[in-house]
Amino acid sequence: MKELMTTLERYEDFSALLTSGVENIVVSLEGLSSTVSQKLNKEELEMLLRDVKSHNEKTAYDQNAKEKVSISIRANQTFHEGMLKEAEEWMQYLSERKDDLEAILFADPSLFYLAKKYQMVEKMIYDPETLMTSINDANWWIQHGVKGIAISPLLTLQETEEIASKVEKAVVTVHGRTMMARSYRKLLTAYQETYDLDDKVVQNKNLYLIEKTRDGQMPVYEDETGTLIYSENVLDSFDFIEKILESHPMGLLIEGCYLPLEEQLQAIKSYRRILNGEDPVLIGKEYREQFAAEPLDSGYYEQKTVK
Amino acid sequence: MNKKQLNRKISMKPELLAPAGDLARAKVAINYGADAVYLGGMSFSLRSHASNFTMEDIREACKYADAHGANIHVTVNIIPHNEDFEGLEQYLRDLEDAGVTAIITASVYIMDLAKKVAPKLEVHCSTQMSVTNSFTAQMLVDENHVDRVVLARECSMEEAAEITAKCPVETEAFIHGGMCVNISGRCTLSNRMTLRDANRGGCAQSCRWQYHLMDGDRELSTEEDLFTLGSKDMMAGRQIKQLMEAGVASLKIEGRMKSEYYVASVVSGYRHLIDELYDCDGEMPEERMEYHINEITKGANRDICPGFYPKRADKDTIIFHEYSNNTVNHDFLGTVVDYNAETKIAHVQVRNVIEVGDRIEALMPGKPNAEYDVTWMKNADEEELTRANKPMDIITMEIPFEVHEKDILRRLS
Repeated sequence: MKELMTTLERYEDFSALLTSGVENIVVSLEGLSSTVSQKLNKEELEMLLRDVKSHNEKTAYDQNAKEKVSISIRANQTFHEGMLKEAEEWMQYLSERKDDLEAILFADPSLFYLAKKYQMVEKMIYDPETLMTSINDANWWIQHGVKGIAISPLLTLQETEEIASKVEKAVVTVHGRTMMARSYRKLLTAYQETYDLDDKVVQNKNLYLIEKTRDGQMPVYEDETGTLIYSENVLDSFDFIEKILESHPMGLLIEGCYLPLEEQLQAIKSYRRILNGEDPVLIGKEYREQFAAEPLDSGYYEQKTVK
Repeated sequence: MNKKQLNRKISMKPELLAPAGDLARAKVAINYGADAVYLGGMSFSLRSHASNFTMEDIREACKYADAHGANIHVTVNIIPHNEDFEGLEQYLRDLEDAGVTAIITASVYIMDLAKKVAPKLEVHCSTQMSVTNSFTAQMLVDENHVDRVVLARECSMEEAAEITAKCPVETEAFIHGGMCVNISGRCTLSNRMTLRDANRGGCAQSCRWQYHLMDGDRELSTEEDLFTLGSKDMMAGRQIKQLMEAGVASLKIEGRMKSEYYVASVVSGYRHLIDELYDCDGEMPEERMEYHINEITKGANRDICPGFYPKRADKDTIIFHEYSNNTVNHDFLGTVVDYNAETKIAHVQVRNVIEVGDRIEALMPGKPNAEYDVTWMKNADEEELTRANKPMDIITMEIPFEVHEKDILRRLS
């Protein structure tokens, strides 16, 4: 089964995502996640879990209702020694709620260590963004019991297919802005302090960078976890999705970072229609017409990086 | 360990681990006091623009290191794609046969493969794995049986000490050289902008380029002061004592693309500092520390900072001007070709302009630096020179103390 996944950007978007056609909503948490997406606390997560339970109970009796929905956690922070206590508290809590959670996407191996301790390795998906680039490394993690791996969105279509088809437990990012760089430094604050800017640079989602000889606008975001730079283009996979599906990935992720809710919902609807058998070329054309102003591109599918 | 050692604050002298871009630089590093040298082969290594080693070079480096009581570590630190594994097993076996002590890698698969096919090789996890906590270190020991954990450059001194105390195997920490502004391995600016894969050796250093910083339609930066992300280099001379007290087993200098002069100068500087700190058990007077810091920084050609050791790196660690990143270092004047102890006449290969009257310092492996004034010079035709300005020319001059082939001469004033 190919699960359609998307990220929750704002708490208030949850009810719209619940009925959008995705099977899995990836939620970020305070103390576990490093992302521009809103990071929720435990109470907010509990509310979402209740909403999901209620939604799924309704679908059990309603033939016309949307698919059942589950929640995953984006736990992608790099943890420093002093953060381990909070990370462990979260992992202990999540292990107590593991029956209500689909997966925990993690980047720092410390969470694998904690997952073993709290007997929830089977819930873990290794998602180090840039580092999952080969069948061999993917298989290492699968052989160590994780639920899956997330293929780096830096690979060509061929490389993506190769890994997904061999591993069979792969998540492929098919749509949205992808992470370009993450720094533990507070780079915007450093610039602000150096040049005495009065402007708000921390937790400001309107900021972006333009390299001085280029035009692309790269969203840049700083919070307590550091500085994040996202791709200037929005990946779309409509022209490649049939090949990707032939490689039997476990999940298709629509990354919601910096997408307006309307666009995120439309992307979900479009990929859902493709999964239901409609023509991806036609659907892609419709989507691109609707969001003609967006910097859509095909990422690295047809662009091979060199050493 | 005897009772006297137990009472010491510094219980062991750490390994000084130096970079080498080629065989000549590997030998220089060892001559100037490196306990180990790390280098990259022709494949499987980052720094694709460094002049990487053939297997024959690696064998010779191992022989040279062995003869001088040093070790060779080889970087196998690309983040591999499917196409990158061809020949890897044989390569690892060849490294083991050549006498390499350790590989440095960030791939969990390569770690396991090395243990299987070349069990004499130690496996050191690369800084690309961004180890910033003891659970990750423990995981790498439990699951991959690594022999050494290389700490992320983002570690504070407290974190480095705490991880080292809890880590079941030895740790290695960076002390000097270039720093990625982003978390190692987690930056694709180069990939996106130039299609050069930063994680496979192709980094275009796009972090050092200049960017307009916008807030919606409004620019926060100015044309004169565009936003940039380039980091100052690390120079942790003042933190060596704490790293030694924490029991960090290996102190690493970055810079496989740096020159022979840089390698000699920096390695020599840290060698003397580490030895003296060990001898005085960390009780070093400030003026001696000042002396060593001055020696270490003579080889630097970029702005420096102590990295994350004292605090989370802030504005003082960023280079905000595109063109201040690289300055040519003119202090390296030449190398000794030979020396006649009776006549005190040396042949010197010129590397930068030398003038009569220059005050020169000689860097000599295993000996304190010594100074002299240039009183006269002659070219190969025995003609008197007041100025030697042809790089690689061989000149003669008087040096009032004994020097040896390959000793390095640099300007003092």
